[in-house]
Amino acid sequence: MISLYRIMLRTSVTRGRVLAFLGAGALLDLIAYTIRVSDYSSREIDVFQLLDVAALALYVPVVALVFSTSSLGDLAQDGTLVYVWLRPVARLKVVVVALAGTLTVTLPLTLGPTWLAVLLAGASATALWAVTASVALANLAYCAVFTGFGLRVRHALIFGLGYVIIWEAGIASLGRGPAAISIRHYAESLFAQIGNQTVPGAVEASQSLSVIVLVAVTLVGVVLTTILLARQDVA
Amino acid sequence: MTAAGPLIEIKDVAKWFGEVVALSGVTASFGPGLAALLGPNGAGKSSLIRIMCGLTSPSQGTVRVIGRNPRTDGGVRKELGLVPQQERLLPGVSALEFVAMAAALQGLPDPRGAARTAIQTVELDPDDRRHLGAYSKGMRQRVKIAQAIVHEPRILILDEPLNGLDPRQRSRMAQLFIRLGAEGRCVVVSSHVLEEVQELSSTVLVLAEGKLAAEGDFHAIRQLLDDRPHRIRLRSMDPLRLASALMGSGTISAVQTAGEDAIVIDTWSVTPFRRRLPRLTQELGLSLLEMSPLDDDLESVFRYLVARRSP
Repeated sequence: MISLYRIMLRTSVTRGRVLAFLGAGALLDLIAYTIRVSDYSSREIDVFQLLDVAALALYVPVVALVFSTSSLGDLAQDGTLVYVWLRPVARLKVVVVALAGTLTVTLPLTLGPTWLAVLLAGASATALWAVTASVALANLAYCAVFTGFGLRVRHALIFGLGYVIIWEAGIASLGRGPAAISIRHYAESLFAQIGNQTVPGAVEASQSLSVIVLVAVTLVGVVLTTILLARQDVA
Repeated sequence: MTAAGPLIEIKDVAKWFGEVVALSGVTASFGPGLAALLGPNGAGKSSLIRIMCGLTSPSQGTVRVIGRNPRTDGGVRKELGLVPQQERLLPGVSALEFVAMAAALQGLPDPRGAARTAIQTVELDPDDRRHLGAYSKGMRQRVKIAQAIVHEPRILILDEPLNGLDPRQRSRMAQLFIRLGAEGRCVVVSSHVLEEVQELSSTVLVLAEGKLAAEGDFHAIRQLLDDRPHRIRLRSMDPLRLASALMGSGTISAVQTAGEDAIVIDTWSVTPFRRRLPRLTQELGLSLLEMSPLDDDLESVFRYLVARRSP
């Protein structure tokens, strides 16, 4: 499985992608630093809003989208999935390995800049713990969903970006109904609950419910991707 | 097929993609030994191979590999090796890493050792650290063969495996396939080149337009391919005199004019016709300006076989 993990990692990780997201993460950190130097009383609130809007609503899902749609999706598109599919390996194992490969990149790429943003903004240790839990669980859920999406949908990156921007960052902020079926808002709710902050538009789910939903989305994503992989027409 | 019984059984298999019919009513079986799947591009060979390996489901009919459904029974994959037609290989890895991954996924105890052996079998260097992207087409083709044989499968299916190889490599790889077949493995090699098949196997299945056009011993297939009406265009200074003389010679079955200086003839006996033609033109004092077969390409031959077999 280690060799498969390495292959998955090499398939999805390209220098261009990593550099692009490091740049985006640096921008997030720069904004966080400007909050610190501005030195006013609502600094903690502004850091939370920055991490909510920039990190949880956009940066985390986009990073997860780019790397997870390419892990199995690129293999399916370029016809090399056959070299994995035609081996006597349980489909669940392949999906879990693909997910592990994706998380190996997405977790450092998302946690690193958000941790730094919290530190640069001079926010509390609570904020650090809140961002760690919410970003990590959001990563899991998004990656599980987008891995299957990439396997099944041609041009998954484009459609996925549409989903992230229109649904997760847009429509899901308009009310409790759409928010209840948005990964972002459970991550956001968890972030707010742990950090003892109020994030505008958050679904206000309890801490345990948010964790349960995000873990459940991950598990459902893994199971569905496993079924899709088993039923995949392989070129 | 043999005393050992078929390892692959295909019954009335059809495959369609929307309106396009890739395979229609194909029934065949493959046992131990080497068999060739011959047909022009687009004949349905790759679709049949994908169905045999379980990579896609047939739209109709059944396939059994070692008595199991290859689409749903993961156990089949332990016994199966495939050289797919597509050229792409996994990016950013060396041949050794790629073949070792195949060996590891097959559950071999020493993946790197097995990979080294397989890579040496296809006459590549296992210590070559270059990524596969830097390999030539022929080298990539041999890497594909190495990953298919690394676990010494009972069933080896190769989709156009000799594409991109130079004549020497072709011969060496053909010898490898023959040896694997002689060891009692079921080896199925697809090709669109008649001469390639002649070198490889005595058992041939001809697939054309998604249908099984012919099957049997290579020589019987060759005979079938030869025993068909041939259409030839002849240009001469006096085509009508030539047409009349040819009809009188009894070597052609039909003739028609094709412009001012040409005729098109049909003949069932191409060898006697070719022998008779020079003498005839000499006797008539005619010079033959051009002689061009109109249906000697493999596709028209296959089309003829399909039409001949259709009820």
